[in-house]
Amino acid sequence: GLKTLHLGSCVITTNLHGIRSGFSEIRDSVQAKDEIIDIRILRKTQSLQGTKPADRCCLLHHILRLYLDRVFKNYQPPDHHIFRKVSRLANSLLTIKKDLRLCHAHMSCPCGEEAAEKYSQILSHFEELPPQAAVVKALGELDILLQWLEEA
Amino acid sequence: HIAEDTSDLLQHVKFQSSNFENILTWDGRPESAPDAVYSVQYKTYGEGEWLEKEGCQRITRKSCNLTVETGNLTELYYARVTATDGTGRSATKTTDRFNSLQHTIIKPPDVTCIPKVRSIQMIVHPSYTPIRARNGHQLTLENIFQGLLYRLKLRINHTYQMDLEGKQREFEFVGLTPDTEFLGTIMICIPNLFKESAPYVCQVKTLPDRTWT
Repeated sequence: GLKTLHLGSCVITTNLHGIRSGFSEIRDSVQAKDEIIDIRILRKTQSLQGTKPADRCCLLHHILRLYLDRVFKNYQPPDHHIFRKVSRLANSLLTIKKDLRLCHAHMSCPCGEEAAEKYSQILSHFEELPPQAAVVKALGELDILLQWLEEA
Repeated sequence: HIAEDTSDLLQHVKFQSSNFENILTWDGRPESAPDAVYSVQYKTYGEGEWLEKEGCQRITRKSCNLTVETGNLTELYYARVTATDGTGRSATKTTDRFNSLQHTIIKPPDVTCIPKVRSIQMIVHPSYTPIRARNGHQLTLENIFQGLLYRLKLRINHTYQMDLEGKQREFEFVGLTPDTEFLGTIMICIPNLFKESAPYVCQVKTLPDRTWT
């Protein structure tokens, strides 16, 4: 079923169950391509649930933009099956991002200092890696992002 | 210099997890390396250091219990095994990324099936896990999975079956024929994580109706 996400005063519903199902089908093969296991992009210290509610919408909006503009766009799927699954995941995250933009339009997605600080840390973890390795690692960490959404 | 092929020393290094008991297992071809010994390390994903698992250094068995070391439900882990044979040849293999919440398999529940004259009561007992809360209490599957529910079926005959489902632990199939054999199956389901246990099966006969008719 649908899950309601309470991101401060921004409340949206999303098919987290479907997204998790889609990702679980490709998780092991995507993660197996991530050979840099000493580094993690989405770290606990920047988690959504560890962020004050008012800043969660903005932080999530920035993370989704990172995924849509720099991860999905640059990911090179090894086969058509994974390509289809990744495309579906991208569309699902795009739907969430559109909902967050509506919140933004209704002034319920403020960007405070905490969101800006945490997103810049996530971005630096992403950018300290070689581009393609960063893309593969970020995609493999979608289960972490989904866990954050589950707990938000 | 041609790298020596040591793949025969070590294969299929993986976690096997059920009800959060996380066992690392592997294979090695005994005929080619009868005297091989194995050493296990583990680490948290995103950290640099590999940690040695005490009690699994230079062992000859092909499994190692990493339940405690990989017990944080929201953490992601790796483990690796190094095999060394008598001639000094060695091989190291690493698992896939492991998270017990995602990867653990759910064991069938423990159930008591109680036959009565026109009903069968089924009492599901809690499934304890090795995971402990901060206060030291052992957690059950119900504590860990908010969405956990039980799915029960009672086969009446070849064409007819009764179904019950819920989060409670006591169920009763009613309106049954006395002195008749029934087959009951009970499964644990965690829909949001696509987990379902194998069924617990109980074959039970309702009691004869001794009331005067």
